[in-house]
Amino acid sequence: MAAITFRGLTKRFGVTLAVDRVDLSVAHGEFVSLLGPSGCGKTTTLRLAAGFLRPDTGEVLVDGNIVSSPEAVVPPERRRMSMIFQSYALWPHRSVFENVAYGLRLRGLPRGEIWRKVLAMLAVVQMEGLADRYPGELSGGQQQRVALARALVVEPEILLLDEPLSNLDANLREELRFEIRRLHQEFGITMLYVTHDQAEAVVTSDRIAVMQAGRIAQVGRPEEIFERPRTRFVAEFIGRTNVLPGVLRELGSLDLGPLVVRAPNAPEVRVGERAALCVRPARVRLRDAAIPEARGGELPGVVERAVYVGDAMEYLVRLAGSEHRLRALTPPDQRFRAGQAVLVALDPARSVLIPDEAG
Amino acid sequence: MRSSRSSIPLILALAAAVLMAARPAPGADPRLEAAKREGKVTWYTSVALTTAERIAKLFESAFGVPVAVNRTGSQRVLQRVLQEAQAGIKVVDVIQTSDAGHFVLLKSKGLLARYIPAGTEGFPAAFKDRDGSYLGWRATLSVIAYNPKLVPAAEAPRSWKDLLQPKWKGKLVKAHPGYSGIIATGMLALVKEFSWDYFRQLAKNGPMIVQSANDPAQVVASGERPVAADGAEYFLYSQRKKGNPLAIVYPAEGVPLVISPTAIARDAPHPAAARLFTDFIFTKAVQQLMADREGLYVPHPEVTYPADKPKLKDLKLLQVDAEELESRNQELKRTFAEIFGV
Amino acid sequence: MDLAAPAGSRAGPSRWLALDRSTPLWALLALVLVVLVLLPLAWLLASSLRGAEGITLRHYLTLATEPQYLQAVRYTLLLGLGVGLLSALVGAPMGWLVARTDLPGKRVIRALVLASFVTPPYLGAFAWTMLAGPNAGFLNKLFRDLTGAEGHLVNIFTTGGLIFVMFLYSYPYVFTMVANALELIPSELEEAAQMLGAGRSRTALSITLPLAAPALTGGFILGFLQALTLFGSPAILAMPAGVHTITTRIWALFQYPPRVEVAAALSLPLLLVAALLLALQRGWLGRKGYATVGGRGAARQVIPLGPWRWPALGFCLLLLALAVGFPYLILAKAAMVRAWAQPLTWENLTFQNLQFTWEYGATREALWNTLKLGILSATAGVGLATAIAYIVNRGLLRGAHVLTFLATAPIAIPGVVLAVGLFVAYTQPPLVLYGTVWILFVAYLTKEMPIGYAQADATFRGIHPELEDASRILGAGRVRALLDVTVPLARSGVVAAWCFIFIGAIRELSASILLFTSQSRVISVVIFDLKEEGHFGAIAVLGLLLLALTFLVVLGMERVAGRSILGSRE
Repeated sequence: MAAITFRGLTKRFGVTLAVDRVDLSVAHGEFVSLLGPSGCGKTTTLRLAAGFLRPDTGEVLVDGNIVSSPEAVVPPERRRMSMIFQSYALWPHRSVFENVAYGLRLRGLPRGEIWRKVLAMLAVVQMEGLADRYPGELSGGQQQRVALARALVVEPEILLLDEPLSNLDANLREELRFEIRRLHQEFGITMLYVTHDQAEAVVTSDRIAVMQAGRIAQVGRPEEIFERPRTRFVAEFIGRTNVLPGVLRELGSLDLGPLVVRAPNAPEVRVGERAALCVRPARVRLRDAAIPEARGGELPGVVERAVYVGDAMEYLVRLAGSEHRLRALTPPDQRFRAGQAVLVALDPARSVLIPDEAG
Repeated sequence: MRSSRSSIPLILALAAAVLMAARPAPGADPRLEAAKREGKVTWYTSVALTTAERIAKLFESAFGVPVAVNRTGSQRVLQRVLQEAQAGIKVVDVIQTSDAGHFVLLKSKGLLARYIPAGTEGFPAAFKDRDGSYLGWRATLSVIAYNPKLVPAAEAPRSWKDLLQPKWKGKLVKAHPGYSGIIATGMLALVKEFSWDYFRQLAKNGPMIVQSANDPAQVVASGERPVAADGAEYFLYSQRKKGNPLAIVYPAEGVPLVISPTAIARDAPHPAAARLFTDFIFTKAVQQLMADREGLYVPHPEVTYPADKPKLKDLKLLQVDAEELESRNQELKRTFAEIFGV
Repeated sequence: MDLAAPAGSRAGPSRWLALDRSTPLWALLALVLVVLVLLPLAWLLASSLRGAEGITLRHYLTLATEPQYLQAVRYTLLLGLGVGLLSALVGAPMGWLVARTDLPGKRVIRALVLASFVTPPYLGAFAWTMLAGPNAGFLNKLFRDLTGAEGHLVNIFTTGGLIFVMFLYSYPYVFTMVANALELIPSELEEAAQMLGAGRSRTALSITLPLAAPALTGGFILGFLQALTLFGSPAILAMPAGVHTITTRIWALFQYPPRVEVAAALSLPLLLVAALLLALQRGWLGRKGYATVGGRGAARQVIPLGPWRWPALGFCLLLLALAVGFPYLILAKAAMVRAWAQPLTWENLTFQNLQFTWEYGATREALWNTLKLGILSATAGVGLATAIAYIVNRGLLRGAHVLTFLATAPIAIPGVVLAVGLFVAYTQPPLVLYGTVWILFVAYLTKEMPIGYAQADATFRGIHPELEDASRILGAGRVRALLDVTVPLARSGVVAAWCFIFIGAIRELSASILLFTSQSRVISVVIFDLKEEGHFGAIAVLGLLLLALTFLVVLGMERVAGRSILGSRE
């Protein structure tokens, strides 16, 4: 049985539809990310899960029991969940120790046990020495660790995380990303994680639910989402991608107008319909057009811009006879000049064909 | 304060006399006991605050029953009594204002208890109500006053009509009939004598309008306005005695006499204390004190007056009876507001 | 999840378990507010339409046909315009000087502004009759002695004099609004303009001024509203000159024979004008986004005044001398002498005033009533205002914005008008409060609700709602979370709100003057009574006592709060 389930969950704020018929199940011990741009409804979904909001339609179930419905909501304090907030929400008038101990005090634990558990948890998040500090005296990363400790010390069955890393700088973010993943494995807690950062979602999650305009666009393992996006939105949001819109003339061949490219098969797209081919820049192969080597299915193009990006080269290539432009990432030793004619290879097995909703 | 303390033995002796007269019983007097049980007496009055406080203290030291003094203008006293009656609040025991018309009104509304204090049979008829619902407690005159430091006696106004001279423009202060019963009564007397025209012309001199009939004394003494177009004579008199630069004019055209009655409220929460207090304020000793210390005229026939007070019989007195005051009350206030703006 | 319904049940959680147990509490508090504000207004309207034969417009016809009422309306609007402009033109620059420049003595200036804020306007007006009465006034005597001239320098018993005195006790509102707003505008905005090549004065004009504009117009409107609603100052200064304002007219209509219905009818134009002004301000501000005002914590650069430092200080001190210095000096003199207009000599010195004030039975009782009412209404008012602000900020009830409207609406209800409504509402069953101090309590609570609410609202806006959510998700109920997290964090804001309400209640006259009875007199009413009979010395003693008392309480509370109540930060 799933730890937490959303069934047709809808929430309106005035005229805006913040969450629109969301269905999702999270298994025990699973780590699921809600990924999407700001305003897509992911935080609202999380707050519905926590019981801070009452759904307009649909239900939230925990262990198969309804805890939220339009008629009634079990309040947050009786859900045995924990949550980490975007602002960390550390209480500025309480010390680190008191912040972490709060949940245990509410549970009426004896003093000695509170003491032991808090110190143990502070050790886990590597904050042992700072128990007497106040939140105002801590750095962002330290505050984040305290927030983690406060949420975990009560041994919740479900942990909700609302963009917990968004206020941190890149290095710290990466470090804590793995920290969260480690804690997840160590405690086996069911986690629902809200983020707008696809890299974060990909690294931490067992599964990702991509949200768009209040709806879940796609749910799947990170590599599924990354390799097999089902919509253009997912394809573009999950990482930079080339999108070539056209019409599927026959199976395996997408008509881009002036040119035709080879396309993989996709059950959602039928012959004669509009579709788009998505190819990640790293999957685009380039070679010098001047070197004659006959290979089928290559498209001629011209390098318009070449940028050295450190561990790779990034090229912008215009396909000959069209206005289509592609990004390509190549190893840094493969160099082309701007204006150079190249041949572009798009491997159908490494690209995805999706229905073109924009058409 | 020294003098009030010295009069305490006198007052105590006097209080005993009152009680003896009412019921010559040895030992504890039941009326005093009842008053003490009630605990206090609430007095709404328009007499000068200092006078009211002094009489209240005397009563308390004589009988051990405190007096809650609520001093404000006559018209405010009436407003308060009526508002409270309407709201069913029973607070006031003894009502005392300087507008005899109020008592006609209150009596007609059935808000007064009948009570004739002991020893008042011989009082002049002008102070008495036919049915004994109220009784004139004090009297004073509404007069002209000026500051002798600022206005030489030769140039001072002698008569009401003198106040209409243009030289008094911006120099006059006048009290409000919508506040003071003395002024309401005094003005009506002058209206009857000279008609409203007199006040229409007076208004052209732009008098400063204050509320209480006692306030002109302070305004004139401070010099803010050198001449008072009206005011309570007893207060001016006692302020002058204290050394304030004040001179009082008793116009030969006639001086309005204002009789200020007192009555017990029908719904008085402390009726025994109210009756004891009423008896007390009509005793000869208290009435004599009012004449000596406060400059008031009183109904008690045996009271003597200070030598520097004019005798009432030497003045041409202008009087308005209570019924007329009551019936012309609205006209008075409306016309005043129309002429003076407030 | 044993607390929820049995597995597989489609029925959802039971209502009792799921219901937020604090909801009835919030609903009850909201109801209290509705009754507090709407009941007197409803009675006011009903009363203005009540005739012997049923519903009638006769009372409104009276207003339209008797010229004295229109005169009062016109005069009141004139006062409002004058006081509003003067307050904005003087209060705003002073706010800017204190908030943004290197003006010396800012602490002293703030303390003295607080003193003028605490001074009851009627007491100020009274003191100014002694200072600037055309003949006996101290300043005019001084002028005659110095110049040998006849006549007078200033006459306080004029329209200009009245506007001036009203302004002296209204400008603190503008000062506070502007100073606080400027402190919240981040300097980066101004610096950005300077980088783009705008000079300093240009920056002030093009960026700072428009950003402070809401505060400026707000200040104008507050000044206007003050002039509209004050009773004591016009009663002391305009009535002796034979002029009425709307408030003194309404009060006069309560005199015998009372015309409560006409008073109610006359209240409505006052209410409408005040409401219209506030609506205008809201509408005008609503169209522009002033999101930056309110972004705390940004550093601000201090503008050097250069050679203007001392003239600017002189300007501030002059104003404060007029509002606080001279009035309290003359009050101190009046308290100590037999005759206030006579020179300070040994013969003139006396303890009589002190003694009389102390022995006068009404004084102690009124002092006690005032203190009791101040503390009660401040405590209850803060409780209600913070609860309502909390409900609104956390969206606890549907239609919470209506509560915001109700809590701020009384700012448009002049004290006299409120009193008329309360008088009609509470002199008849089921709730007869007239005759007790409770009707004054209700009046103060209602009248001071907007200022308490504004303060509480600002406080809650500054406390991130997630702080409380964090407490709840860890197992605390709504009320527990409120007590553990929000209450300690809101303390200083709440204390400031308490002080504002306390000061407001202590100096209240315009509603009290219609609602008091002999059982429920307060100091302001006693002072007004004494004024009518000309007891200057006793008034001076009481006024000074009132000031000392208020300052003591406010300073004590500031200590508790650890901050200055007139400034957003120190």
